[in-house]
Amino acid sequence: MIKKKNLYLLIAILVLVIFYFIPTPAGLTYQGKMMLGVLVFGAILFVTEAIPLGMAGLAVMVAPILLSISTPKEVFALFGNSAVFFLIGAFIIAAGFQKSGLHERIAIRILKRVGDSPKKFILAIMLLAGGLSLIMSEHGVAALLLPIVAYSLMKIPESSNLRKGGMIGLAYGCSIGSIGTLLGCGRNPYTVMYLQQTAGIYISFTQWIMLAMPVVALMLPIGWLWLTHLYPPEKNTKIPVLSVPEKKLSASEKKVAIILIFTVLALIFIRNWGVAVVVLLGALAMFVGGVIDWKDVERTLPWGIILLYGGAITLGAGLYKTGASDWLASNIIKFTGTNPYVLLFLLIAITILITEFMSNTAAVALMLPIGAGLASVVSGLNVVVTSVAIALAGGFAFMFVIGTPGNLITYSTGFYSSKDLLKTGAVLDVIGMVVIFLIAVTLWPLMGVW
Amino acid sequence: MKCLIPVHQESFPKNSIKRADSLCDEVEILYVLDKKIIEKVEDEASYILPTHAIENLEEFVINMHKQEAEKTLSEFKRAHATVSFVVGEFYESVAKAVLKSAPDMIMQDSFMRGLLSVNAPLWVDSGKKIKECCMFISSVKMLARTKKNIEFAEELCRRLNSKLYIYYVPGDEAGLSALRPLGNIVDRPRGELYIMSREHHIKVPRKKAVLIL
Repeated sequence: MIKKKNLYLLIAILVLVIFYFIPTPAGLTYQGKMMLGVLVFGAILFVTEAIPLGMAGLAVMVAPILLSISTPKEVFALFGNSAVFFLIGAFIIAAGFQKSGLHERIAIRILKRVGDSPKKFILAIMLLAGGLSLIMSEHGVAALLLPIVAYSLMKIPESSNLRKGGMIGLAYGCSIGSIGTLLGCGRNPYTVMYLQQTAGIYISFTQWIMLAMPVVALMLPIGWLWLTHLYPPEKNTKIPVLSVPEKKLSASEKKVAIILIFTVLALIFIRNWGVAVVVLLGALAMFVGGVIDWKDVERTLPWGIILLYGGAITLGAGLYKTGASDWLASNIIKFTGTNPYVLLFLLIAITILITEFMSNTAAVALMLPIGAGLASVVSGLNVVVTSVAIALAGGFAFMFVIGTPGNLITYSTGFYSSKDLLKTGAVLDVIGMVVIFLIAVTLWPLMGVW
Repeated sequence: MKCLIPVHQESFPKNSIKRADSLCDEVEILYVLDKKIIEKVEDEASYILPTHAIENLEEFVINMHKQEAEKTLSEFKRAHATVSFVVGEFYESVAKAVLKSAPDMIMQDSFMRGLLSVNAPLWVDSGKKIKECCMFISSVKMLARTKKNIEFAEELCRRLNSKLYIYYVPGDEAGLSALRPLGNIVDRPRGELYIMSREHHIKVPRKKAVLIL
C-alpha cells in the first residue's frame, strides 16, 4: 500500500506534469505557466509535509532548473542571498545567548518581580516571551522558556486556569514578539530581501521596527486581556518561581550582553553594511569572545529552515521574473474587484488562515508574490504595505496546535487542550487580522508608506 | 473492586478520580503521554530547532509528565492507588494495561470511542450524584455473561447507594422472562440515553454518568 506521504508527493509531481501539458494561457509565457506549477507543487509539499520542509525547499529550488525556467547559475546564486546569511548569523548569535544562560537569568528575575498576582504573571510570561523573540527565533524562545515557565505552573493544581493561561501566553508571546524585528524570525529578513530583489526597495532594521512594533504593542495586551478573560486565573494563587543561587553576571553573560547591544545598535545606526553583515559580525564576535565554539554552531544551526528559505527565495524570484505573479494577480482581481483596502484585508486574512495549516515561512513565501503582483496591477496598493502586512500576518498562528512549533512545544506539556487553543486562537486570529489591517491603513501612511 | 483510569493530556479525568476514590478498593492510574505528540513536536521542530534542543525538550516534557503522573496519587485518600507512566499510543496502551491487570472497569470523564473496543466495562463520569442506574441490554443471547454483568452493576449500585433499572431494548417476551428474575426490568429505553443499533453506537448524554458494559 502506498504511504499517505508518498501519495502526496506523487500528487505534487503530477501537478507539475499537468502544468507541463496544459496549454499556456494568454498573457503568460511557458516559464510563467510552469512557475505557477511550481507554486502549487510547493504549496502541496508545504501543507502536507510529504517530505521534510527543508527538503521541500530544496525540491522547489531544483524544480525550476529541471523545467528549464531558470539556469542552475541563477537559482544557486539566489541561495547566496543576504537573507540566508542574515539567518545564519542570527542563529549563531542566538546559540551564544542560549549557551551563556543569560535568558534564564532575565526570565527568573522578571517572573520573581511579579509576585503572587496570577494575572500579572501571565502578562510577565507574554512580555518576556515577546521581548526575547525580538532578538532571537520565536521557536527557540519557546523551547528555552518552557522549563522555567513549566516549573512554576506545575506546582499549581491541574484544574487551574493559570496553567492554561500561562502556557498559552508563552506560545502567543513568542508568536507576537517574533514579528517585531528582523531578528525574531526568518520571515522578516526574507520579506526585506524579497522587496529589495523584486521592487528595489530596502527596509532598514529601524524601519521594520517602526512598521511592526505598533502591531506587537497592541497585540500583546489584547492577547493578555483575552486570555485572562477566557481563563480568569484564580486569585491568591501562590506562584513558585524557579530559584537558582544568586550569582554575579558571568564573563560569558557579560560578553553576550555587550555583543547583543552592539549588534542591535549597529543594526539601527549603520545602514551601509546591510543587516546581514552586521549580524555576521555579531556572530563572529561570539567566536572571538570565546562564548561559543564551532561544535556549538554545528549543533545549533537548523539547516532545514535555511534550506526552506532557499526554496522560498527561488519561488518568489521565479514568479516575479517570469511575470507569473502579475498574471495571477490580474486574474484574482477579476473576482475580488480592485478596492485596495478589500484586497489588503483579504491578503492578511488568507495569510493568517493558511499559516494555521502550514509552516509560517511557507505561507509567507507563497503569499508574497501574490501580494506583490496585486500591488503592481491595482492602483492605490503599495508593494511595501502588502509585503510587510503578509509577513506580519504569517506570524499569527494562534488557533491550532500544529499552527507553529511554539504552539506545539507548549501544548506538549499537557497544560492546555487543543480545544482551549482553538477557543482562544479563533478570536485572536480575527483580532490579529483587524489590528494589522488598521495599523497598515492608519499608521503606515503617516510614516510615508502607501 | 478494581478500576483503571487512563489519563490523556487532552482530558484530565478529575470526576473519575474523585469517584474511584470513594467507590473502588484498588485504582490503577495509567498516565499515557501520547507518542504522537512527541513525534509531532519532533517533526515540526526538527527544521527549526537543532537536534540537541529537541532532545532536551523531549526529555524535559517526558520528565514533567512523569511528575504530573505521580502527583495524581495525592488525590486518593481511601482507595489504594498505583500509577504507571507510558509513552505510547493511547488506546493501545489502555488495551495492554487491561490485559495485564484485568480491572473490573475503566473510568473516564469524557466519551472516547476507541475505549469501546477495549475488553472492559467503560464508565463515563460527569461527577454528579447518581440516584439511579440504568442498564441497557440489547440481547439475551449470552445470558450467563449478561447475568455476570448484572451482578457487577448491582454491586456498583450498592456501593453508590442507588437503584438499578434494567432496560431491555428488543422488548420480546422470551428475553423479558429470562431477565425478569435478575432485577427491575423495564422493557424499553427511555429518556436521552438510547442504543442506536446492535453495533453499540451509543449516544452519550451530556452531564450524565454512563457505564458501558
